[in-house]
Amino acid sequence: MKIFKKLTFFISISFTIAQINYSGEVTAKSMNRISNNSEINLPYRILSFKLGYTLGQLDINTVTGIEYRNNTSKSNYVLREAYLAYYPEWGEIKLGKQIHAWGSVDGNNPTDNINPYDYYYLFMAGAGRKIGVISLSSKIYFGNSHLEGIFIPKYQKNRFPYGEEDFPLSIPSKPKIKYPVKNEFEFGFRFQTTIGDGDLGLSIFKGNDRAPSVNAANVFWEVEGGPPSLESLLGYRETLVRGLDFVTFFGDFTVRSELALFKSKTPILNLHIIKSPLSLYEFQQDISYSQYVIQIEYTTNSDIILSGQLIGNSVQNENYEWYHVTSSELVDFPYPEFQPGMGNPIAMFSELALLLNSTGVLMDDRLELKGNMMINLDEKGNMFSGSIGYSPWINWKLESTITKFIGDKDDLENTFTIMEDFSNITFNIIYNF
Amino acid sequence: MNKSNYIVQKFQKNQSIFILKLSLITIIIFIPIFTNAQDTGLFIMKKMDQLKKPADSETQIKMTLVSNKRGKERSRSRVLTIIEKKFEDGIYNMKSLLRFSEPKEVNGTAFLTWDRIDAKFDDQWLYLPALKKVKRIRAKDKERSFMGTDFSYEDLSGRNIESDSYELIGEDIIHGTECYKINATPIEKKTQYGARLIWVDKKKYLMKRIEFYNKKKEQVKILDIPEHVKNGEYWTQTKLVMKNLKNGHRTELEIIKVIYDQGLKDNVFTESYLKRK
Amino acid sequence: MKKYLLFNFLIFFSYAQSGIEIAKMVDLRKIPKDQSNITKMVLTNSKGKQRTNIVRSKSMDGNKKQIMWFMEPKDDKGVAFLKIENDGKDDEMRMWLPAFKKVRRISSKKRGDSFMGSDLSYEDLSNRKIADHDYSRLDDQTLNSKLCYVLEISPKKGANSSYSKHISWIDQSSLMILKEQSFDKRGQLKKKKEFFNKELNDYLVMERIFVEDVQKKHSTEVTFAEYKVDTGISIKLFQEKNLKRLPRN
Repeated sequence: MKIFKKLTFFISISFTIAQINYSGEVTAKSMNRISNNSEINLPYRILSFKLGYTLGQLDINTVTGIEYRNNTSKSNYVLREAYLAYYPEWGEIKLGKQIHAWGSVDGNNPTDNINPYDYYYLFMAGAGRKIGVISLSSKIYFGNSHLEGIFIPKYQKNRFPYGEEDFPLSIPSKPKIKYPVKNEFEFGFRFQTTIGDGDLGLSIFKGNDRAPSVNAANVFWEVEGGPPSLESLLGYRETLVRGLDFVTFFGDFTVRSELALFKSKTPILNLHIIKSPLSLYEFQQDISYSQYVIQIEYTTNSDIILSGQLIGNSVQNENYEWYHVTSSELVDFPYPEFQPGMGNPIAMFSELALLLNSTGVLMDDRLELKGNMMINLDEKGNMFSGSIGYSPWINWKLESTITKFIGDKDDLENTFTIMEDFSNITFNIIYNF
Repeated sequence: MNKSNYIVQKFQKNQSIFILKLSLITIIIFIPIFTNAQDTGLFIMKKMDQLKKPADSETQIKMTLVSNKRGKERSRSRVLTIIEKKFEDGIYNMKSLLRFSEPKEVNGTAFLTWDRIDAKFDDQWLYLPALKKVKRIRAKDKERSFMGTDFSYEDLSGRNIESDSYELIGEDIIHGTECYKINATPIEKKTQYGARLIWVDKKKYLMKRIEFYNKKKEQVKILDIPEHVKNGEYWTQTKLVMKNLKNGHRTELEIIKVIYDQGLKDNVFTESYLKRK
Repeated sequence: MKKYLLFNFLIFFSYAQSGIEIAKMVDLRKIPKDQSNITKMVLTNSKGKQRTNIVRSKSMDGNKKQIMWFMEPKDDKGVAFLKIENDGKDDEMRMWLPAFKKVRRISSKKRGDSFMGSDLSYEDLSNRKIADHDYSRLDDQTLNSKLCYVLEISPKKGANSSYSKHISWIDQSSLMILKEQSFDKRGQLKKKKEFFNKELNDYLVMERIFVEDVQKKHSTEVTFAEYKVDTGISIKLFQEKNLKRLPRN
């Protein structure tokens, strides 16, 4: 099995135990609906284990996990990261399956599109909700600046919870992808420098959407003179992201911000004019959209961190055309609704939202209190969450979180209304080693 | 015709073709003495609304979408039918159902609007039989284009007369007609527009042109209504052209046929009826 | 559960204090070019419960450049912190957060009152500017068989201090501070501090610091292990990329 091979590899090369470093976390979790106390059955990471080996300027790092479901007691092993890291004088080179992070804002990063998202872990901040990609990353440091290049030979898409009853935004079944990604190679560059009291970053990334969209359709008229019936054929658009991010300080306030401009296009499908069926129509999309986040952060005298984020996303320009493949004729079919294939997942909640959070620690770090609030500004909708974390002994933590979604009772299609049933209380027991 | 028929106590919205919807307070027909341009502006708008409207109407329209890509003009046609009916249930003052019949790609696509008396965003549904779904249009979608035309969902919904303040700023000749030129600025802020310039025929109080300005005061669209024809008791627009100045697109609507006061049934304007053929 | 930390965690304390001349003498004491150690901090509350933090730390240039890696508690392991002091500009502070796989730049200005939840405040750990304080000499005293200068130090308005005064015992031969009592704005005793140094290669460095907050009935003990000075730490160590990996020594 893969696990054993990797373990053997590590054990056999580790003559000097001192060169190995490891850390991990074991979690037991239970999640129940507030409404009727029924259990929410979703997988979670029961074990997360980091193992690293250092040999001079070379590091070998792995992050593995075991995903577990309470109700079925089924578990599966996940290799989240496995990469070589080399640290020469001028910078760093990393090769392998890894998670990257770009951007200056916390948690909701429109410019951070390298790794696809694992939607099962959407509510986790940080690397926890990202899927590692096999890639080469090279970072060159010079003076106050650095330049990073990332190259991904193999495309990876988001992991969606298909057919998962308890996932609030349910996606019934895994859709069939008619046009898998042909141009798998993705790449990006990010340049960062210090200006005045802050850091500024500029980035560009070219890749494929991480979520599918309609690329073509088979169209039938069941009744002569009646409406057409479209069978959507899915593929992935190609998207270019240009990003800007910065962090700066005004007095006691920290200001962080990101702006990402996306341009998505249907890829060239090379549908054969003669060999394609008469029912085939190609859907060409050319969409420009953007996302931005502005964050202000303040730490009080008693070390309570307060932070507020304004998150916005909007579509600048949409151009759609339906073509009949065999005749190259333009036709007038309706356009499916646009869903972005990259960018911050929070875009599916709202076009403009305010996120407020506060974190405080008491009792020598033994007690941690967190409060979060999301206020939807374009429509009605709110989310509140509060959590208490208590550490009875060192490296142990008992955590309890309550999350409540409030939607619009007059609007059943409002995302927050759909999420209301997901309002939950979660208990975690966490051990770190 | 008894002039007192025109005196109505409550607010009503303009019942002509779905494009023009302004809710006005119907007032006494004589022209009072006005002391300022705002009173005049409002008076003119009210007069426009007070024109006789049918209880219901069925209109067949040929819609032409003209796009301009790199100097090349390309046009595409559709045929649609709109039925409208006055409602007096205290919540809605009008409901309308639009259905495309041609070309076959859009055949059956339908759009239902329930025009609200209050300032809230109208209830709108779009039925796409090709995608087998009914989409409820949300307030935040109001700027989006209806079926690829130059009309947004907001353009297709009613706007209360109280939602704007009107000022008569001058006179002009448009489409060979002498018109009042009125500047309408929103009081009710939930609109994609920062201002509209409206040309109203001086003699007949028919709307001839609207220039739309966005919140940054840039001119974004122009709606022209070059011709009106009297059809029985009612004035009917025969042609409308909406030009999108930002991308050179335009949408032309040509009224082919109109039938008034057929006694259409209420249940035709429901979501379930929407999905029928 | 770590939050954002202070900037000036001094590995060895150079309090500018005593009667102005004494204060200046202490100030001119020889300090190492670079130093590294493992800092252990044990926090004890009124009920006797303890909490331990361990940090591996390196610095140079009189603490103008500092880098530290958190070792314990285990949920902080991997977190690292870099501080670069620039003349004329604000300090640059960056943290590596393994949970986010990100280097995060943080504010050097706003920091809470206590360093890492301990009884040491940022003020306790910062260099005292001679010009911001008034010094008066009290009678000499012997402490642990060492003859000490005893100074009363009162912060002026410009010092922005949370204390009304300090009484410091400074060993006359080594010019190292041995003990200090700090009083709050109401004139009540707030903190009792004890300092233990040792000789290392020609320098005198801190070995242990014990601070008791008599009002909160809470104490902190800081010990420095594996203390090394002048090992020739390269300036290149104080770079963002080194936050991501623990040094070998």
